[in-house]
Amino acid sequence: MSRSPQWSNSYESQLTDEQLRWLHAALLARSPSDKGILAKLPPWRSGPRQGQKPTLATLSNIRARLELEENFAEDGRTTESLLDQLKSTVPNLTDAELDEIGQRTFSLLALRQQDMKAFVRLRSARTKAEIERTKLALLERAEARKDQELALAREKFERESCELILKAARDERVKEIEASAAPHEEKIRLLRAHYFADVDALEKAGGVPLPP
Amino acid sequence: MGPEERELLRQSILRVLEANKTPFGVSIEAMRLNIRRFGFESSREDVAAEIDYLVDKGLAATKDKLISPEVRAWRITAPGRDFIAQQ
Repeated sequence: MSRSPQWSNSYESQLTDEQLRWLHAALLARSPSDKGILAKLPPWRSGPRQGQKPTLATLSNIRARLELEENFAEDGRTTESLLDQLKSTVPNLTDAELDEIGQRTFSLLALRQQDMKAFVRLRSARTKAEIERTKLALLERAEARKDQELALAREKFERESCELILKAARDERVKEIEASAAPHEEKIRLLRAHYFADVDALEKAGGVPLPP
Repeated sequence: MGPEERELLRQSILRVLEANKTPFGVSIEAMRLNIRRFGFESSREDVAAEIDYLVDKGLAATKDKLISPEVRAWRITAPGRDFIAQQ
């Protein structure tokens, strides 16, 4: 877990491996306090600060770097893992495309690590937009379905009307009523009585029996 | 922003870049969030301007091979590591 710094002139580079491991562990655990850590650390062995104790700012920077290294390393591993999965799923992606997807993923993960609220806000905004888009699509589909149903109902009505006209043209009773000298209103009444005789019969019987 | 503040911002940027050992670069938004760890907060424009300065100085480098120009990310260079080690 403890890592040696990569440069030769830092305070950490002047510590023994054991001191460095202890320092990193103490900084990450935040125990003892930074003042307590400082008390146990040796002064700079060489360089312009030789003989001086490291400052609290130095400790704070080392801790921030250690935590940041861990976060970046974790994000890097997650990104690499996602890229491996992507490569096997979409094998024809170019190296440049993979590199860009990796960079975008890594950047997004870095945001999540550091500012969960910002990440959640970003995700929520996207989710809300997606929900709105889905709602709109559903409404459009419902409208389309309604139009389709109306068209079907109109087609059905027209077909049934034409069938009735054809039926009426062949109906002897209808021909008889039409040819009679009765006034128009009377012809309508007679036609209605002819076509809706079954309804009149049901009404007289006291109601329409509903199916179970 | 005064010269001292600018210097601290540059150091914070380099410290963030230095902590990243992955093959990926640090984006400007991730940079803005991470420099807070070093007690620094700055606008996107200021951070971008100081990154450009560090690139010009050879202390940081733009991550290459990216297709989209809007996807920008940076890495620390060897001179950048040497510089930050002395701070």
